[in-house]
Amino acid sequence: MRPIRALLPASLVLAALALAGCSGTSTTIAPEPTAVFVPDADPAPEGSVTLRPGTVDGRYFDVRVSARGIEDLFGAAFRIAFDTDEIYFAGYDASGSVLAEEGVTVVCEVDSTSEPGIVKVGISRLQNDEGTVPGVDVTEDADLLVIRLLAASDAAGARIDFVADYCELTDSSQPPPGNSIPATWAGGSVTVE
Amino acid sequence: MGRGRTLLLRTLLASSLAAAGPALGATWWVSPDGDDASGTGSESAPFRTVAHAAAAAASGDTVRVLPGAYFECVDASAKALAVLADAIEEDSNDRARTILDGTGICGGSTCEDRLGLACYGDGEEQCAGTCIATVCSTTQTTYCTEDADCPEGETCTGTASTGICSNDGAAGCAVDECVIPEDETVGACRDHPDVECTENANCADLGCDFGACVRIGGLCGGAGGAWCAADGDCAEGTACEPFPSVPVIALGSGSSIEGFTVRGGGSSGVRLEGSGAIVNNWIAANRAGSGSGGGIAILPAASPAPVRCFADSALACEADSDCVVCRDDPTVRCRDLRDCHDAGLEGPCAVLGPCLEVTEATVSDNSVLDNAADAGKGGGIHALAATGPGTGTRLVSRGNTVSGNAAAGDGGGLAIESSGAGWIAIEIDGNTVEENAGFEGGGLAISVDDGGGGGSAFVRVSDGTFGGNEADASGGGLSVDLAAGAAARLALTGSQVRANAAGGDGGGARLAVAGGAGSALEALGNSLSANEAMGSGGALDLDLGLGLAATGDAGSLAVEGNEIVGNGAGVGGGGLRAIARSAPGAPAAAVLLSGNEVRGNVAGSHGGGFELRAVSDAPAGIAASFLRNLVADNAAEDEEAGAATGGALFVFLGGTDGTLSLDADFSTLASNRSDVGAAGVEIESDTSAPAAARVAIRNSVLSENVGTAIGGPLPFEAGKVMNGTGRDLEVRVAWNDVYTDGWEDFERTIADETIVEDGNVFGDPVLLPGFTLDLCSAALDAADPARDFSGEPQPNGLRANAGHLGGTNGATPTPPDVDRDGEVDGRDLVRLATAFASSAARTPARYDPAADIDGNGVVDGDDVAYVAAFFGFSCP
Repeated sequence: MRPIRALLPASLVLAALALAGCSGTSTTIAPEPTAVFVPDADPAPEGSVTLRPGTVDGRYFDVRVSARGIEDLFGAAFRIAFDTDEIYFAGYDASGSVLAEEGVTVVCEVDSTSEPGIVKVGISRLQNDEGTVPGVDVTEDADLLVIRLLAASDAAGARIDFVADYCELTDSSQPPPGNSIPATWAGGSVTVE
Repeated sequence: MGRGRTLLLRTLLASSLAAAGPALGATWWVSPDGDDASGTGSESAPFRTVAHAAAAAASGDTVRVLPGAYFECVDASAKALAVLADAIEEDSNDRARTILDGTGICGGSTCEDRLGLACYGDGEEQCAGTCIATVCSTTQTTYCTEDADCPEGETCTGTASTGICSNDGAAGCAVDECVIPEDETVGACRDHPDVECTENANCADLGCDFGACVRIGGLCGGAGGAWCAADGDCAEGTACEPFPSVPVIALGSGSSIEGFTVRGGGSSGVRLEGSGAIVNNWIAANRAGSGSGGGIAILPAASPAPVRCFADSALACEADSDCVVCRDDPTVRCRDLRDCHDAGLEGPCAVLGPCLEVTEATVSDNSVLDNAADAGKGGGIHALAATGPGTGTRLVSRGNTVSGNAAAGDGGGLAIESSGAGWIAIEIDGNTVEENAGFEGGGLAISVDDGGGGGSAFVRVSDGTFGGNEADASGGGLSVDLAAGAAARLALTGSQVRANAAGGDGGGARLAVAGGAGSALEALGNSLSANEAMGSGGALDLDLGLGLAATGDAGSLAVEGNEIVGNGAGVGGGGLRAIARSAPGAPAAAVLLSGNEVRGNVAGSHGGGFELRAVSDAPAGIAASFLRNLVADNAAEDEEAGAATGGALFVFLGGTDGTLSLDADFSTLASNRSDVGAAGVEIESDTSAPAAARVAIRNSVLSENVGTAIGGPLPFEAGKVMNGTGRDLEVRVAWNDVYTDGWEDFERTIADETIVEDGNVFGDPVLLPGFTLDLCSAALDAADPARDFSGEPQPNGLRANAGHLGGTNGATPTPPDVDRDGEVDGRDLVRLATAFASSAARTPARYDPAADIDGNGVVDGDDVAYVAAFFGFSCP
């Protein structure tokens, strides 16, 4: 139940294997399979939170939870679902979150174990005692956080979706709990090539 | 008076009697090599017998006995002597080398096939073992297995004709011999005819197999004659004259005995008259004849005792005021704490009085085994005290092993009796009392009766083990009866009571106090298991009776912190029965049943876990609290009639005056069952005006009991006790989690007539294997909102849980579900973040109480941490 605060591991460097036989013959090594994430909404519409492709490292692939065209974004709560026969959760990184703009303290919790196949996320700016910390105005694509996943070698068109009824954006208005910001939520699919 | 008397009680039962130390007079030596005629009793010219040394000694002298066997009866009852076995100076455990043996001389028992060899118990095995018959080369009577067992310069080479059975070191035996018929080369062992032999060595290691252990009959023709068990053992015309039954050693007031094996007594092994100490002896195979005290008998002194402060016998006095002194320096008298401070002392002003003639006897660190009182009380130990006005007796039994003793009367292991209007303090501390049998009190029986004279009695049984004892009547392990009009206080603390059996009430223990104001009966921190009572109170049967009192101090019955598991009663109270009774004019009585774990007990009629009876005929009434008890898996089962009721708790409230109240609070009653009626709490009452009965069941969990959760007697049922006239029974059931899973929550008679409900929930408490609440329990935060929850670990939901752990640091925390949607997820985190740093005091406009999880008035990092700890949690 405890959230995993793991940061993304450093990018893996794949060692290229090369063999030179004395007889002069060569051996061909099949290339590592690569995960390819395809978002449903491309480009992302205004007023949306979508999953975007990020860094790929073989079957490891990053999915960026990205907002676009949202005003006064203070916090977000959402859940992402996938088939655990095809997709595995491998970590997350909130260090580059747009919510941390201007050095505002951000709190982030991620749970991937209480319900297999569901990643529960809460990420938000922290208010100050005067209640004057504003939300962030997001115009172009900006990441809330990055989730790293691992695709099974036979993953073909595996879906990664936001779970309806559990996705919510909140603005900075006071008094708490603030106002909900309407948004479109869109996921995507992944294939291993 | 209450506080002063409390201080006195603690002091009474905490101070210890120093064993009578070495006397200040002469020392008289005794040795197996000594000579009564030519010896002088000096170390170089010792006497041969202990009796001769005792006769030569004066009060205050020491009789020092070297290792060996001494076959004699010693009467030193007119003197105050210190009788010391020299062997224990080197090794305090070496009690087997100095033997006082009265077999055939003072009475006692012998092996039937080898008359004259001491034994104890009734089975043939008491006369079996390997015969160790090697003795030290010079002393010849010191048994040994190697040279190191012998005095310096001697070797373990001699062979005695008699030896010691190896199985216990106390029973005697004879070395077997090979008997070869004339003209034969192969014979058979004399005592084992089935064993062939060619020499004595072939028979040497065979057992001491001499049949049953029997009471010695006497001597043919009287003194000087051969052993006999009956007339038929003697020559024709010669009668088997009975032995005089006397103690092996009789001591006077002020005496002590230490380091001996004492066996073969016909009228006790050791008898002490008055004050003294019996320390570190092995006392076995003695009989009490027609009296009491098979192993040890303690009797009142014939002459007046020294006048001392009762709680500290080292303190002389002339008046009660001489006994009110500063605790840190008893030479400083005081009236209150300030007097002590003025004298430069920190401690309190202690009441160590009153000033009385004090008799004080201590029995400590002895092994008291297989003795018997065939016609009396106290198979192992019997102490008799007679206290009149102006006198007091203190009796201490500490660190003894009392096992395998039997009495026809009370107290198979130990029996203590006291009568009279004086003061009596009895301390039974750290004893192991096992496998004894008696009438009342298979292991221990204590009876104190002031005869209505207004005496004071204080009894504490602490840190003992009572196991496998049997009583024909009540109190399988122990039975204590105090009747003292001024003050009677009885406590059983820190003891293990297991596998005892009673033909009456109290399979483990029966404790009864009948007294006046301030009387108290306590059972604290004990473990009681696998005890059986044919009557009531499988583990414990407690009875507090309060009579007319001149002052108003309340009487109390407290059962706290006990573990009561797997006991059985034929009638009521499979785990325990507690009775409180107030006679007309009695003070108020308070009953507290708190913090007990009562599991897996069975009663044949009512109250599988508890039976509580309160009967008041006094205006002051009786108030009972049932607090923080775990009562689970108990049963009221009547296999024949199928009419048992009250699986967890059976309550009876009755009487003619006063209010009888039961407040059941913060308890867990789970998985109990009954044949009929309530498997949780069965309430019955019989009161007549102006008496009234009030029952409140609050903040508790009643879960999955097989039967209704709360109920009362069915109407029009013959033999059942109904409510009294008018509405004098009120039952209030509030802020509980009642989960009956298919049964009625409240039985109709209770529900229709008297019940008042408020704030109960009826969801599944989801009890975990240790009867704690699951995080999804309906009992979380279900207690009365006004009750203190601060003791619960954070996050506590700002409200106490129901059940026995509610409000304590053992309570289950409450998942911090800020938005109350049943999950701890991102929405809770965001809501908390928007209210972060708000304060109820400084920024009330933006303060969100729901986000202030720990209720400290600020939404801060601790609240974030609680959400983080539970993030992702949800209930199914």
